[in-house]
Amino acid sequence: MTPILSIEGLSKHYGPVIALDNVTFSVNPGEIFGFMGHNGAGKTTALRVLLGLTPPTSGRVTVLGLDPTQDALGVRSQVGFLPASYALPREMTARSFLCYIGAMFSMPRDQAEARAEALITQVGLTSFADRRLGGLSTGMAQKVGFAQALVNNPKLLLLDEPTSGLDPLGRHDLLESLRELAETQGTTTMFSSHILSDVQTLCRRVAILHRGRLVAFGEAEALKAEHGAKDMDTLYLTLARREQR
Amino acid sequence: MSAAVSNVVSNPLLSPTLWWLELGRRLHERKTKGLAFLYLGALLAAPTLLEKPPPHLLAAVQSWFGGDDPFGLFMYVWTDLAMNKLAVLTGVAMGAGVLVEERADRSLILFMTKPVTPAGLYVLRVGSAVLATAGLYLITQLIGLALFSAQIDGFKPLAFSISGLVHVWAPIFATCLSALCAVAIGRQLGAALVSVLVLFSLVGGAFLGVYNPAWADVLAFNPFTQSVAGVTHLQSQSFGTLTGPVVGLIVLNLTLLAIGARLARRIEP
Amino acid sequence: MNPIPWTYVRAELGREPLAAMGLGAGLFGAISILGTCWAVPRLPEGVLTVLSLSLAVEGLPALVLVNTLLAVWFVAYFVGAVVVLRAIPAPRAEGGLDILLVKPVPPAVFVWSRILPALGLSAAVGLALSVTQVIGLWGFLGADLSIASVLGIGLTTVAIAIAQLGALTALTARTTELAGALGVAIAVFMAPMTPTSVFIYRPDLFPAEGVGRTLFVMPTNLIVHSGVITWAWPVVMIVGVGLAALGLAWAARRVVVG
Repeated sequence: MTPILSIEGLSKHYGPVIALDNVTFSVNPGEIFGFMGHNGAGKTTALRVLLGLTPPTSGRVTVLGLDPTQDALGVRSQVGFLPASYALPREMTARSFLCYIGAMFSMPRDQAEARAEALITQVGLTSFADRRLGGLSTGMAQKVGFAQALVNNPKLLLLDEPTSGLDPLGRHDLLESLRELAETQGTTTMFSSHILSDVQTLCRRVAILHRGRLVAFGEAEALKAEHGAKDMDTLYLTLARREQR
Repeated sequence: MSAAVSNVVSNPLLSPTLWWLELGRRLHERKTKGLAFLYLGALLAAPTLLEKPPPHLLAAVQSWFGGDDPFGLFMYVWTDLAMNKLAVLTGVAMGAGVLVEERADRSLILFMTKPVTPAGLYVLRVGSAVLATAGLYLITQLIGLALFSAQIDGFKPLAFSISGLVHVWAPIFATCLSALCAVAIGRQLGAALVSVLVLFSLVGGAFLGVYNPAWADVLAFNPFTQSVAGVTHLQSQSFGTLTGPVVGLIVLNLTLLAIGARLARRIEP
Repeated sequence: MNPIPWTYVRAELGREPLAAMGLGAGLFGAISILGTCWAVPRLPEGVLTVLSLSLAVEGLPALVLVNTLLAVWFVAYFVGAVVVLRAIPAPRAEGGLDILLVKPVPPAVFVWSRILPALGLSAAVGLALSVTQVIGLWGFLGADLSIASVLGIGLTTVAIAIAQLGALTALTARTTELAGALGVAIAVFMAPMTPTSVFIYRPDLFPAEGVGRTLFVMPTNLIVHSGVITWAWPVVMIVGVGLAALGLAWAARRVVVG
């Protein structure tokens, strides 16, 4: 199977700081892939490289067959991205914002409006669609954030800490939405998180980063068995402690 | 193995929908509404200010701009006191936050991860700011045309309109310069401070070449001097006298836009 | 009452790159002042007469001073205004103010610690430019215009700028949008100039003679009353700082949004 996303020997240095150190893994089409690591492990940096927002210091990255350093716009036109830290434009409404994002994907007006309407229904924003985004609760804002990542009907979703800040119900809904997208549309998701229970619930294969280095990659169950861990928490702690020694 | 080539060909910057939504977004901003209020204030205040001009000022303006009617004084006051100052305010309000304001409030990442380059996003933002600026200015001129025709004796609608079509490039220049400062400095307030200092200095010197013709050639570099050509050539407004300043201002603004777009590539979300 | 957290206050006072900002703005102001001192006397006689009549000041030294004072005022105010806007409206707009306001620092201490550098910077730049003004006007100094009066008038302008910064702090204490705060900053600067604009074009709206004619016409009023300003500027400075303190006190009451 040709991977939808592959990273080979990726390193990224910011001056003396090594954010990513020779990282190699790949993601298969249609899967929900867990990308784990503590805060500052390098997950966000890796996602920025994948989107062509920052060039790698060395190594090679391919997303949907494209090289983001050469064709960042081509990658972004087929990928949906939800950042870990962001704010919505306060003076827009969910409807106008989603319509605007649609236009950024070159959709004609009627198509952008229809897509916005469909997403408003899909993520459960109907009652809030015409409210100013500045006044939305964290959960509602995250729904808008998730919806904007889906505007272009992406083949690949890159989600950076999508469940942090959400209440249990919101988390459940988001994880269910991702499962549904994978099952009904074959959408691939790279699910970056440090909430290990979410990864365990959702992902069959995972990559674990620790201080910029890849410490594990493969089937979650196989990794747990290999390291004698009963769950993802134990697996992660075992690997992290081993690295610290 | 070489990477595949993207099949995405359409450039969102060519999409009228995106421009229309971007302009709508700009017009709904609180600062745009505040500026509209100020332009309205200028329309209402100008006739009152000129109801009874002092004789020394009337005589001076007539000697600077020629003619023997008080219309020259009106044009001088309208352009220098009202529209030049509003040009600075508009430029700083519309331009000094381009990209950097969104970066500061963390909304830029949502736009920069879409299929638009930072330079393209800069052009989109400055373009909508310029359109809103020009819209505010020209609507004010249109209302002024109707209002002043009824209120001011000896008002010359054609000269007023032509002068406005030249001077509209002053707030556009202020917007483009402030936006350039924004991406060059990287902070909205720093950009605003530099823009305010530079623009008010240029406005202060807009008519200096008229006061002292010996300096006219040296001061011609001032974009505000060029933008008031409709007033300084009030008695000889013609295609020949006004084309040069307008073309010069358009070229200058395009140059500022191009430099800003280049600098925008350094802006990271 | 909680004791003042001095470590916090010291950290706040050292937060902004005041030296670089002051140097840049001061340099710009000095060039403007010296340029004005060079340019105004070279204007044609007719223009100087119009300026003199329009602003109700007599003599070339006074005309030059009117113009250089604008530079002192403008630069002293705006360099402080940037620090004021970075102190409260900018972090509020960026969503980072609440995290500071929930700490056990009284709002008054918070506001004072953040705004004092703005007032100090404005005063320092204003003082430097007032001295530059004396240097620029050196050739014009004489019986009508002494070093003390030029310096006194300059520092009175700085006192006004400081009072305006206090007002700006109060007016923008709850502003959530930086562009709006910027608009308020420009409006606060221009407000005292409004009577001047009206005076130039409609002098008939002002009393025909007496103190009232130019009382509110900035900066003509400072020059017309230079005799008093020469010795009274410290009083004006105290009043200016007092008004700024009132502004800060008001801002401290408004900064925590319940």
